[in-house]
Amino acid sequence: MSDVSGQTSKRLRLNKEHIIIALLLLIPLVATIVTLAPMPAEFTTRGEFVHVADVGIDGSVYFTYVESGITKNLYERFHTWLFYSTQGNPDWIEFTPIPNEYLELMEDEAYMVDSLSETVEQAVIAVNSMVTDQDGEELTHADEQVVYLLNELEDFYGDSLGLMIAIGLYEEVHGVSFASKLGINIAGTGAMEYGGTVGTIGALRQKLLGAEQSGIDLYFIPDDYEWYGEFSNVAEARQVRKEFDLQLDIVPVGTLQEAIEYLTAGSWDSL
Amino acid sequence: MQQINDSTYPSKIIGTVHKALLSVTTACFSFVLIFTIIFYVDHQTYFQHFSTIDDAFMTYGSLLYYINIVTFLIWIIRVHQAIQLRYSDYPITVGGGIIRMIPIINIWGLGSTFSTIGDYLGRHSAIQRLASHIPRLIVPLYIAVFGTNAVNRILLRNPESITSDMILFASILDVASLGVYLWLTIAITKGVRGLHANVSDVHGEHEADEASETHSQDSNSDPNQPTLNS
Repeated sequence: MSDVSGQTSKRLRLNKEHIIIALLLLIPLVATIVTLAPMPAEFTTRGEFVHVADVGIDGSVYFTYVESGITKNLYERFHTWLFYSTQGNPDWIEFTPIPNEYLELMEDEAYMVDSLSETVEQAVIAVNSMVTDQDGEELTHADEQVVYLLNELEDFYGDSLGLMIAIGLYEEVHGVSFASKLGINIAGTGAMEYGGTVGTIGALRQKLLGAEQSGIDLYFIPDDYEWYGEFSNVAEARQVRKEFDLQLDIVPVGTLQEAIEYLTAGSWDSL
Repeated sequence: MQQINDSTYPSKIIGTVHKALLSVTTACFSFVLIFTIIFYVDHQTYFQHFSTIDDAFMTYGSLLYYINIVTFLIWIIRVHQAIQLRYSDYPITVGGGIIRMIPIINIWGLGSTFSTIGDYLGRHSAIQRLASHIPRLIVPLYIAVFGTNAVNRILLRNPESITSDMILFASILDVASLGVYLWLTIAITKGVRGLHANVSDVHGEHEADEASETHSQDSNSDPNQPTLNS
């Protein structure tokens, strides 16, 4: 085929190989774009339990922690799942999609560290306020106690361990062991707030499932239904108990005082 | 009658496809190696400027890698078929080729496959020099491939003990194994093309047998010259 000037023109030929190569390069490219597209999610692992004695408190109860974090896309989500599944049961990690506007707050480590120190401080104050001259040793060096505990808890974030730290401190001050006395394993979760009140926490589902699997008999949770209704920890615990047919006693408490009264009496109102 | 020429030998299309995909995969993992070196030297610079693009190359390269496994298996079977068309005494059948690639068996199978291919391609004088590269790549292939498998197993089993040194070493092995495979692919595809270039077999396999017998009996003869039955 010649053009007007007489020069031979070339036609671009697409061979079968070129089409196959293009397709096989394009498909993973599309998959890569989808995998790396922003899709933030919060992950939490199944609850694990730490005895208060491991953080220097002479008590008998356990506090709960979950490993949590943020993944920004499907790629990070897959690698996080892979990391935790090689360490244990791959079903022990849950991903919850989060809006982009929450991403910055949840990545803020300073916020998490502040909430830990606040809950520890309130736990010490709450226990201190329950001590009388006749009962035993006072926590007269509350500030030192807070510093000591924060040092022991340096590997943890968040405020949900406050309630159980407070119960452990109460046992230490009064020389009692509720677990030995009742012959059961006691754990729980709840933020210690001003006035000894127990505040709402997160990741309750994973904590309850971990408690059931770890053989915990009595599990304290915040009694927050009055403020949050169907979005409360109480409503969530009811739903998880029903869904998984949990056998452990789940006991909502509004204050540290209430929890201590249950343990002292040896009886409680379970969900 | 069977016509064997450059446009019809079995591994032509799949060889082109596999070589192209393998080239792109090797390039991706080469970029990943560069980013890994940056990570090794300066974590902060890596996380500030290169972690996202590294993720992209790693993801794309990994997906291509799995596609390459499929194209490699198809290609190597077709290579066996292509050589068998030329030399009827070629020992590796389709089934034998597949068995040689099964994990564990491939500890023996990889060496057997490539040494046999190199041996038969080397019988063709025009591509003898090219074919001589193939057996020489077997040892580097074993070191790279099985070294990569071993390191990746260790990294997967103990993720909490991964160090920058291990990541860099794993990345180097990845690129090395892909590079060796690419070199082998290029050598073998060129060799098979040369084997079938301008060969017209009027009487099918019998001609190929005669040609190979002539070659083995008389080392000075040129096996490219077809012989005709009278």
